[in-house]
Amino acid sequence: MTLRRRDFLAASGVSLSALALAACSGSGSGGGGGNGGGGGEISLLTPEFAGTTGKAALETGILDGFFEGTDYSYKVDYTDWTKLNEKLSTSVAGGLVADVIMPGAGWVEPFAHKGVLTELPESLLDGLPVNENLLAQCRYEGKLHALPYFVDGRICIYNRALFDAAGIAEVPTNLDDLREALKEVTPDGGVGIDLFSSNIRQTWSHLLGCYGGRLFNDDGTAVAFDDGSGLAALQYMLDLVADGTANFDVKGAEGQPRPWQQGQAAVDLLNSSLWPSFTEQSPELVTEDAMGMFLLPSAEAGGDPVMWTGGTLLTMSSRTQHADKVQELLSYMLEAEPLLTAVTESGKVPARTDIEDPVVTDNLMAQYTIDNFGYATAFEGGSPAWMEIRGLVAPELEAAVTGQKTAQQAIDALTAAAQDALSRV
Amino acid sequence: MTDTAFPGTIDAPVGTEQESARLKADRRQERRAKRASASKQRRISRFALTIFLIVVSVVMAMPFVWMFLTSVRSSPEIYSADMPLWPTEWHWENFTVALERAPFGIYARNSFIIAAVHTISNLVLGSMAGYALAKIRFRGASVLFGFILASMMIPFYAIVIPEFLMIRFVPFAGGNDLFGQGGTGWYDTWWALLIPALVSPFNIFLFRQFFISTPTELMEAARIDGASEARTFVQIMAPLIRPGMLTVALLAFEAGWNNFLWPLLVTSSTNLRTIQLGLSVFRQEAGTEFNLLMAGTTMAAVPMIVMFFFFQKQFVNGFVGSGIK
Repeated sequence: MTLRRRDFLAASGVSLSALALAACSGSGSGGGGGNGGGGGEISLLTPEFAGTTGKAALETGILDGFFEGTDYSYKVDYTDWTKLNEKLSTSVAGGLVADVIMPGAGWVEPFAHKGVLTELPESLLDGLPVNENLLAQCRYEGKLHALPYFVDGRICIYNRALFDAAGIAEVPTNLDDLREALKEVTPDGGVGIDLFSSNIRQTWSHLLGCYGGRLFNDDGTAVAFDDGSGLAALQYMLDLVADGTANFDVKGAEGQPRPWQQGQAAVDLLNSSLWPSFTEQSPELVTEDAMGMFLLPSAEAGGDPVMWTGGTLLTMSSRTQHADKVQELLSYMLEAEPLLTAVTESGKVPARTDIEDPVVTDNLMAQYTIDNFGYATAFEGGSPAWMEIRGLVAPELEAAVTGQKTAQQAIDALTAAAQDALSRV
Repeated sequence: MTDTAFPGTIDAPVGTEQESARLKADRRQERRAKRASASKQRRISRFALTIFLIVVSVVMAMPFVWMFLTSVRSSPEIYSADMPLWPTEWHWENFTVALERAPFGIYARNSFIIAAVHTISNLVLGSMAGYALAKIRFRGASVLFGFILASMMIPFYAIVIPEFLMIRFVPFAGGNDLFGQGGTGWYDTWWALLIPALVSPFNIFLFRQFFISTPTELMEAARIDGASEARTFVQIMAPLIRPGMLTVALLAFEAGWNNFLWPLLVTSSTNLRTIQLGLSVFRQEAGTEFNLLMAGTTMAAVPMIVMFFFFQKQFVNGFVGSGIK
C-alpha cells in the first residue's frame, strides 16, 4: 500500500474537522447553573453514598421524594473524601461549583472565606433537634454557612476483660489517671492505648482540647495552640510512648485489623463511624459485655471529658441560581425520614438527636456519640488558613513521635507554618 | 641392526615412552577432572540462578497471589488476629457482590474505550513526533525536544487546574461561546476524557529513542527512490521499531486503563466514570472492604495481566532496545 502526501493531509484534515464538529455539538451537562425561576437542575457534590446502594439510597431513597412533582431535576457528582479537595478546587476554578456541597469539618471557613459557600438563614435551624455544639463547625464569622448532616465522634473503646483483670472498675477521669491506668492494662507485647491507627493530626487536636487549647483564636486570625496546650498535647503522646503504653509501630495498617481487634491494645481511640466495619469484622468484640466506652478525659481533675467531632455537612454554593430551592432541599434532607435513610446506608451518626430507630439505637458507638453531644467540639478548622496547614500537621507530629524532633521543635514548626498561612489569608 | 641416532630425532627409550604416556594420561585425566569440575560449577551456578529466579518470581508474583487470595476471603477472616495463609473458606461470591456494588460493566467499557483510543492515538501521533525529532532536521528541533522533556518533569498535580480550565472553556462546546463562556465546555463529556491524553510526552521520547537507533541510510535510500516522507515513515521506518510500538501500546493502554484522578475531576455522570473510580467504592472513610476491593481489583487487573502474558517478550525487548531499563 502506498500513502501519498496528499492522501495523508486529506485524512488528517477530515479527522480534525470531524473532531471540531463533534466538539461543537457536544451538549453541556453537570455543574451548577441552570435556568433560574420556575425550574432547573440542582447539582450535588458528595463524598458520601458511594456505589450502587449508596446511589440508590441518596437518589431513590432521598432525592426522588423531594424532586417528584417539581419542575426541578437533580444531578449528583460522587467523589471520595480523599479527592474532594481536588474536585472542589477544580470546579471552583472552572466555575462549575455544585449547588449543594457536602464538605467535612474544617472546610467551611476556607471555602466560605473564598466565597464558594454562601450564608444560610438561621431559620433553617428552627425546630431542628441538633445540639448547639455541632453548629460551631458550621459557622464562619458567626454566620451559619452549613448544616450538620452526619457526625463522627472520636471515642475510646476498651476491652472490658483487660480492665477487669487489672482491677479497674471506673474509667479514668483525667489524663494523669488515664496514663496510670494504661500502665496497668497494657497487654504483653501490645499497647495500653492505640493512638496511632487513627489520624495522628486528629488525635493531637483531640488532646489539644483535653488541655483546653484550640488551633486558632475566636476569629481565626491568630494561632492559639502555641499557648502551651499544643506542646502539652504532643508531650502527653510522647509520655505514653515513653511509658510503653503507646507505640507508633503498633497500629493498624490499611487492610489489617486494628490492634484492639487483635487483643494487642486495651483501648482504642477511634472514629465512631467504624461501627459497621467492627460489627462485620469482629462481632464478638463489640458487644456490651466485651466492650466499654469512654471519652478522653480532661487534663484537669474534675474537668469535662472531650469528644472530638467531625462529620459531613450540608452547604450551599454561592453561585447557585436556585437558592430557595436548595435551602428547601437542605431542610428536607435533615428531616427524620430522609436522614434515617442516609444513616442506614452510611452507618454514621445522625446530627438529629431524635431518631429512635434501631439503626441508630443498636449502633452502640453512634448512640454513645449522641449521648455525649454535650461534650462535642470540632477541634479542626476555625480559620480559612486551616486547609493550607492541615497537610503539614501529621508529618511534624510523626517526626516528634519517632524522635526525629523534640515536641517543642515540632510545635514551633507548626506554629510558623500556621502563621505563614494566616499571613496569606 | 645398529643403533643409529639420526639428527633431529629424540632418543626415546622405553621407560621414557611409558612416562610420556602416563603424563599424557594424567593430563587427560586432569583435563577431564577440570571439565567435570567446570561442568559441576556450571550446574551449581545454574541451580543457584534457578533458585534465585524462582525466589524473585515468587516475590514478584506474591502481591497478585495475595490479591487473589484476599478476594476470596470473608471479611472476618481478613480482620482476624491469626489470618491463615490459605483461606479457610473460598468466598467466590465476593466477585458477584463486588460487581453489584457498582456498575462495573459501564466502568470497564469506558476504561476500555479510553485505553484503546489512547493506545491508537499515542501510536500514531507519538511515533510521528518521535520520528520527526529523531530523523528530520528542522529548526528548533532540539528546543522542541527539550520542551517535551521538560513537560515530562512537571507533576500532574501542578497542571491539573490549567488543564481542567482548558477543557472547561473550549469554545463552542457544551454551550460555550467563542470565548469559552456560557456553558460547560467539554466537562462531563467523552472529549474531556480522551483529548488531553491523546499523546504523552514520555511516549514521544520513547519513540524518538527507538528511531534514533534505526539506520538513516534506509530513509535516505527511500528518498532517493522517490518515496514521500509519509511513505518513508509508514513503510520503511515504522516497521523497524515494532518492539517499540508494542511497548508504547502497552504503556498507553495501561495508563488509560488505570487512570483515576482525571476522570474523577472532569466527569460527574456515572456513565462516564472508569473502573478505577468504581474500585474506590470499596474504600470509604469508615473503612475498606478489602475482600471486595481485591475482587474488583483482580477483575480490573485481568486485561493488563493477559496483555503482558502474551506480549511480555516484546515488552521487555522494547524497553531494553530503548535504553530504558
